[in-house]
Amino acid sequence: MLSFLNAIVELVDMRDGQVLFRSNKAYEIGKKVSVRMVLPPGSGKIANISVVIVSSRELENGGTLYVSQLTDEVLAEFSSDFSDKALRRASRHHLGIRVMCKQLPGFWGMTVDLSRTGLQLELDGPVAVGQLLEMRMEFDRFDLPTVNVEADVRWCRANGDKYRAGVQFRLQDPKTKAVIDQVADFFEHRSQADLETLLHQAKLTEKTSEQSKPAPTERRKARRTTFVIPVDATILGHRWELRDKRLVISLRDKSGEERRLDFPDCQTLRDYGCAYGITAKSMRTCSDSPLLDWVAARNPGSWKHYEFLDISQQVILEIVSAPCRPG
Amino acid sequence: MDRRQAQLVKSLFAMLWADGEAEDREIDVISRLMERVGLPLEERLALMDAFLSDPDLARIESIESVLPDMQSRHEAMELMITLCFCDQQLAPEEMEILHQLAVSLGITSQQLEEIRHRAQRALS
Repeated sequence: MLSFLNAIVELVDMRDGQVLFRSNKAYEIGKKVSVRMVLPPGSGKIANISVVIVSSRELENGGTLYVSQLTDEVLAEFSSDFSDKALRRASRHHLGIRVMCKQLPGFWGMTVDLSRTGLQLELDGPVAVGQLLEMRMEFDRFDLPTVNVEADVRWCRANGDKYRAGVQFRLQDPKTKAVIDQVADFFEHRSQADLETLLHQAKLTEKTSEQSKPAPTERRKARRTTFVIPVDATILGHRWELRDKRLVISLRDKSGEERRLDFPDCQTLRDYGCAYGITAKSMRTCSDSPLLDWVAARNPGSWKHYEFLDISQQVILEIVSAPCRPG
Repeated sequence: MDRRQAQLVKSLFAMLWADGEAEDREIDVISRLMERVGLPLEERLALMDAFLSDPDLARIESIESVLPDMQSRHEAMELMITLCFCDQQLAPEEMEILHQLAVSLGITSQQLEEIRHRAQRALS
C-alpha cells in the first residue's frame, strides 16, 4: 500500500534467498519490511520485495548495509550471480575446511567460502546473530598456518536440514590479520594461476617456457604418485610405541572389529579431530609431496605421506612415515 | 593371509597394472574383492599401499610364479567367483574386473563360463 512512496534502496548482492542492500534509511533488525530496488539489476525496472532485516553495519562513505532474508519466492528467478564487489569488502573464495569452535553446535562447522574479512559456514544447528565465535581453522597444507581468529555472527538462516551463517572476522590484532591475509592471498593466487604455475609453486615441477615445452605427443606420461584407498572405518585413536618408533593407529571396521595399522618410523603426525570419532572414508597415500620434501630435507629416507580423509574429503589425520604395515 | 589369498591378491594387482595404469574405479573394486577374499582391513590397506606404490611387485611374471599351472588358475578363479556370488550382489564393474582377471590368467570365455556354472552349483 503506497509502496511507491518508499525510497529505492541499492541492491548489493542477492543469492540463496539472502538480500544485501544499501540504504540511508534506518531499518529495525528483526522487522519485516518492504523495499524497492531495481530488479533485475540494470534493467531499470523497479520491484517491491518483502524482506526480514537480519543485521546491519555502517558504511564508511555513508549509509547502512543491511543483510536481509527474502520472504517472496517469486523473486527466486533473480537470485543468480549478481554481486556488487565494490561494496563487498573482499572477494570470496569457495573453500571447504573444518572450523573448530566451542560456540558452534557440535563444536564445529564447515566453511562454504572465505574472504579477508569473513567467511560463510555450514552448521548442524543455528547460531545467534551477534554471537562472538572463537574459531580455529586448520588447512590440509603444511605451508598454510593454523588460524585462531575471533568473529562475530552477522546472519544465520536455515538451509535444508542444515544452517548457513555469515561471520565477520575481528582483526584488531595485526598478527591475526597478517595470517588471514596470507591465507586469502594463497586462495586468491590459486584461483588466478594456471595449472603450470600451481604445480611450480607446489614444487612438483620445474616451470618451463612455452618454447621449450615438448610437443604433446612427445611428452612423457608422469607416473601417478598419489592413490586413494577405501577405508570405511572409525579412527579410535593413535599411540606411540617409543621402543621401536612406531605409530599405531586403531580403527573400528564396518563389522565393529578393532584393527591396528602401524606406521613405522613416524616423522610427522597431525591430528585434525580424531577425538570426535570421525569415520575415515579413505586413505590417500602419496610418495611425492611438498611435505615429504620438507621431511626428507631434515631426515633423508624412503618416506610415505598418508592422509586419512572423511566423507567430505577433509583430512582428519596426516602421517609421514615408512610404508605402513598391518599391526 | 593364507596361500590362496596371497595368490588371488597378487593376481588382482598383476591384472590391475597390466595396462600400466591404476584407475580410482579399479582400486575401489579391488578393495571390495580383497574384502570378499577375507582380508582384514589392516592387511588390505598395507597391501594396497605396497602394490599401488610399486607396480613391479605385481608384474605379470608373478602370476606364473604363484599360479604356475592352469589347474591352480582355474581354482583361483572359481574361488573368486564363488566369493563374489555368495551374497548375490555382484556389481557390473566387479564382473568386468573378473573378466579381465580371467584374461590375465589365460582362461578362455568358455572355460570361464564352466567355472561360473560350477561356482553357482556349489552355492546352490
